[in-house]
Amino acid sequence: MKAAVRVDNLGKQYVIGGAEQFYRSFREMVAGMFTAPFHKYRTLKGAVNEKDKFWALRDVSFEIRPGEVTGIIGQNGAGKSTLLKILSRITCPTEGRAVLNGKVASLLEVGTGFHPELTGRENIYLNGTILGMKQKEIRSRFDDIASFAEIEAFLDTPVKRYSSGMYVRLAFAIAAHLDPDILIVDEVLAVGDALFQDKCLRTLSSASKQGRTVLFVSHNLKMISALCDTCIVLDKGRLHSMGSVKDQVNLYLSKLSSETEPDTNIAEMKEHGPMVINDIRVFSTVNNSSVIKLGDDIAFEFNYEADNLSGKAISVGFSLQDITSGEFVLVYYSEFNNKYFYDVNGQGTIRCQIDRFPVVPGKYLVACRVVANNREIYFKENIATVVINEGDYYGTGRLGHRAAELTKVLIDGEWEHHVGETLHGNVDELN
Amino acid sequence: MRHTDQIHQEFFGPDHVTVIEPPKGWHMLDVRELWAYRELLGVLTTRDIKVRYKQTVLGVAWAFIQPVVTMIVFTVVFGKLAKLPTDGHPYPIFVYSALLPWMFFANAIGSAGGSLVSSNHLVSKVYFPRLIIPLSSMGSGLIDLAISTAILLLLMLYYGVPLTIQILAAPLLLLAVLFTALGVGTLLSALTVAYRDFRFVVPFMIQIWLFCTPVVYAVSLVPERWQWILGLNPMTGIVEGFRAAFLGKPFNLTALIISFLISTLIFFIGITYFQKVERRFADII
Repeated sequence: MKAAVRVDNLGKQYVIGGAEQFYRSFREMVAGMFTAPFHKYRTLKGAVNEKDKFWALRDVSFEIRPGEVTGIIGQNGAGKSTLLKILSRITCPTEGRAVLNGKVASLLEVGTGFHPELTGRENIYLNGTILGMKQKEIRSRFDDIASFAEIEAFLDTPVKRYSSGMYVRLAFAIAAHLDPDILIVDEVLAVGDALFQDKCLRTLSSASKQGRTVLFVSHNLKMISALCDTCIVLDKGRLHSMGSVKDQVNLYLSKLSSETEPDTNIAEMKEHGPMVINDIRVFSTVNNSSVIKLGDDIAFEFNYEADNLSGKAISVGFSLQDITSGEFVLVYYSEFNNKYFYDVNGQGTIRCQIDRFPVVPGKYLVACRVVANNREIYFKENIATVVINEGDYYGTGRLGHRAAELTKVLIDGEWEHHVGETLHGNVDELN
Repeated sequence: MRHTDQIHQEFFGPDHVTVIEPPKGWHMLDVRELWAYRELLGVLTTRDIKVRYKQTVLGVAWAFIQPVVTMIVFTVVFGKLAKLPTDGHPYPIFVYSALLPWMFFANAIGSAGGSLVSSNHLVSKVYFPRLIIPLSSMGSGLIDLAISTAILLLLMLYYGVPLTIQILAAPLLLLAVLFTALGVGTLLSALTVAYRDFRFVVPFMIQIWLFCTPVVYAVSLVPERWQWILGLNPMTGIVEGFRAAFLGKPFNLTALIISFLISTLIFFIGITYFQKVERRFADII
């Protein structure tokens, strides 16, 4: 059978932005004013140094059979978007070739070309045509689109008055009625409420059941696993691997966590800013072990190396991101507690103690950010991974509240029952 | 009809094969593909027309106010104060019949110039022949042109200028001005993407171009041995042609032919340059 999508040695080279000139002195600035137009002209014409070029995508080859749903995963900068942009013909490859058999529709954004001043009805025609539908087709599917989006009552209202939920629903409804042979979708499902996301997912999977070929990029590995048959892992612009979705997602997860060694090369990191976190330790202070259980008292220790920042108000923060869903579970800065560090100079450690850690079992990526006088001086994603194991958060001797499936964070309160008595709360201040 | 459906099928049907390859040198304008996307051109043009006067207090009245006020100001300054000769016609009619094609041209190239940059949200998210964008930005000017033509006819009635058989040339002249605007507009839109300097160049250029075109004055005002320079400006023949068509003056065929040849040249340069940079738009926009 003929492949629906066939990609051979595809590559895309970009020129690193602008090569802006920085003026060190007034004299250089004046001189620069005269030479800059020529430099600029050369850069705009495309004559640039080799070192300013980089490959966003290179030597990527794969084949997708008709009716297959393929996920594309990879970290930021892996080349996912570039690949989709080439396959959607928005940008041209620098080398290689791709062949797509059948009618292609690509959704790199919901509501492309929506005009805020136009009504829902007008935007259905506008957006539908932009996405490649004929007027006739739109007319015959119009009622379905409106009811799918649940906006029948607002068809003649300008979309600028729509709530963001309505806007996204309308945009997706149009896209859902495209009827292509090959559908290219980029992360668009990340918007909208959970209910609507579910509806979109069902539409996408029914599209595949009708024999559509779907290429789907997402950070949400759960969604990828639920929707796709096969999966492509991109890494730094190269095709890392391709295969069944289960294998690829597991491979990707293990790859992610093995790559989160904090940078030890301080000399190199120093160039990025006046302060560098060169080691991060997360451990349970119950038994000083790196095995953390839900509900343990834990500590985050950030070892840093810094220039003399004495007198500056330093706030350190970190976030935890669920490795499978890509969702951020929490963000916490010292400044939330009005805690700033004023004497950062040379080496040291900033420590954050958290009692009864409430995040449910799972694997999380840690990102760290340092702010000095409200300006970011350090930021790094994937600086470490934290594994939280099942634990007795409520101190009841029981494990596993199956909370991880429903929620990300546990809370603890006090429960009472007042028999035969109706409480009206503590409303003193209202009386 | 059958044939056009075939073209649509070719580009949107299930047998469509998309081959994506690096751009290789110059390539010809794909007229068939453009035709397959004609509905998009229509939809984008109607969008521009619908949106144009939204959120304005005076609305469509602007389509009257702009040409009429320009005409009044020009009449006072160039007709009454400077007393420019008009070969015997009332100055308001003399200047207005030339403003008709000129304002269409100036608005068309002005809006086409910035059209790609301001549509970057489309260019970076979805594929279609990029030429559609400058084309659609010029479409809404046709409505204004129709309105200002109606005003001219009223003015002629008022001044008692009779319509002659010459008016039949107007549709041809309209095609000529469209053609010229297309060439200049596409060229400027592509240049503006590549070099944002053209955002400043275009308004400035339009202003200067106005005075290099016999709109406020008659060609006869220019010494005869220099008139050929004026003739190199493709708008000269067109503007003079419009004037002749409405005021019943004889046509200057040589000027028209030269204008047409230069327009054609500009048109091909515009389209070719556009095609050349088209594939890089998404990367540099």
